[in-house]
Amino acid sequence: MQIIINLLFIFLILVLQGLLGWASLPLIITILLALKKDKLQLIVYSFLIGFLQDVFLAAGFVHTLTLTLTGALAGYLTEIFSWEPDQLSILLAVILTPVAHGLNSLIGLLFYGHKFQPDVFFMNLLWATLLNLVLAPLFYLVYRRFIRNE
Amino acid sequence: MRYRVYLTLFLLLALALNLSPIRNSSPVQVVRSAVLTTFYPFAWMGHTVYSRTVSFLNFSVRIRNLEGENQILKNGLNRLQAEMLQFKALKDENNEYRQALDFSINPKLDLLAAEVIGRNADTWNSQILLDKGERQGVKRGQNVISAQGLLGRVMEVSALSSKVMLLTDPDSAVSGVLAKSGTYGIVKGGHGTGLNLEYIPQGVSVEVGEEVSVSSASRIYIRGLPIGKVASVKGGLEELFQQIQLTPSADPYRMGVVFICR
Repeated sequence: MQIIINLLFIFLILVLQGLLGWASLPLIITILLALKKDKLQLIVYSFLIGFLQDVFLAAGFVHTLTLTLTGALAGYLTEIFSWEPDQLSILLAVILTPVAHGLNSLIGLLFYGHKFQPDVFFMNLLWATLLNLVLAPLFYLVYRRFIRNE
Repeated sequence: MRYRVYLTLFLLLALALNLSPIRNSSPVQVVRSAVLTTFYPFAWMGHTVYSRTVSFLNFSVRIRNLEGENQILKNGLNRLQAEMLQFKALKDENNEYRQALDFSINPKLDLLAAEVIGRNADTWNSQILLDKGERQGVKRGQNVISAQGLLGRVMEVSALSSKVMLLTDPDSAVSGVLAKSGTYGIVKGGHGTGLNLEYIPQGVSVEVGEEVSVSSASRIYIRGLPIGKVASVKGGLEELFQQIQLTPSADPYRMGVVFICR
C-alpha cells in the first residue's frame, strides 16, 4: 500500500513537472529519496520515476537509465558524506544535476544518435543547476515531515 | 549484497530498454500503453486541479472588471458578426478558387480539440501529452495543429490519451517550402525550442521573417500548414547549404488547447 501511495505521490509531482515545464523535479525526488539513506528503495524508485517520465513524456527510455545511474551515485554519495540532510541536499543538487544532464546527453548520443549542441547543453545545465539548488532544500523542508515520520 | 543484485538488475533492465530492438518490441509497447492508460486518471486529475485553481484565481482577479469587460465583449461580438459575414463571402470565393485549381487539401478538416495535460521540456525530447485517445478516434500519425500553425503529429495513442511528437523534437523532420522563392528543404527539430531548415542551397535568397510552410512533397503532414518564420540565416560560400534557423509558428509550451486533424 505504501508503495502505491509513494508512486502516486511521485506521479503527481511528474504531472506538476509536465504542467509547469520544470525539467528538474524527477531529479529532486531522487535527491530527497537519497536523504532517507535507504539505498535499495532509492534504486527502485529512481528506476520507476525515470520509467514513468519516459512513458508519459518521452519516446525512448533515456530517463530510466539516467535516473537509475544517478540514484546509484546519490546512494554512494550519501554514504561517504555524513552531512546534515539540508546541507547534503545542496551538495547532491550541485553534483547530481550536471551528472544527470551529462548522462542524458551521452545516452542520447549513444543510443538515439542525437546531436550534441554545447551552447544549448550548457545553458540548460546552468538553469537546471540553479533551479535545483533552490528547489532541493525547499522541497526537503516540505518533505522532512514524511522522512521523520518514517 | 541484496542492494548490489537489485542495482545490477535495474541497471541492466534500464540499459536493455534503450536498445532499439527491445524498446520497439511489441511487449514493451504494450507495457508503455498499459502504464499510460493506468496512470492517465491521475494525470487528468492533476491537470484539472491545476487548471481549475488557475482559472479560479484568474476569475477572482477579473471579477472586479466584469462590467467593463462585458461592454468590451459586446462590442467585440458585434464586430465579429460583421467580420463573419465578410469571411463567409471570402470562404465561398476561396472554395471556388480551390475547385478551379483542383486544390488537394481538404478544406473541411475534421478537427478534434484536445487539452495539453503534460509537457516535456528537456533538451532531448519535445513531446506533449493530450487528453484525447483511441476512444475519441485519435490515430497514430494524425497532424496536431493550433490556430498559429503546425505543432507536430501523434506518435503514441492509448485509450484515453495520446502523445505528440512536436516539430521541435530532434527526431522530427518535415518537408518545408520557403514562401518567396518556393524552394523546398527539410525542417528538423533543433535542440531546445527552435527549428532548422536544411538543404537550402547557397544561391537561394532567404530573408529573415520569411514564412515556411509544409510543402506538397510531405506525405505525413498536411501541405500548406504554417511551420515557422526564418529567424536567422548563416553559412559561408564554402558550405554547400545555408544554415537557417526558424522560429516555430506555434509555441507548444504556451498552448492549453490544440487540435488533432482526423
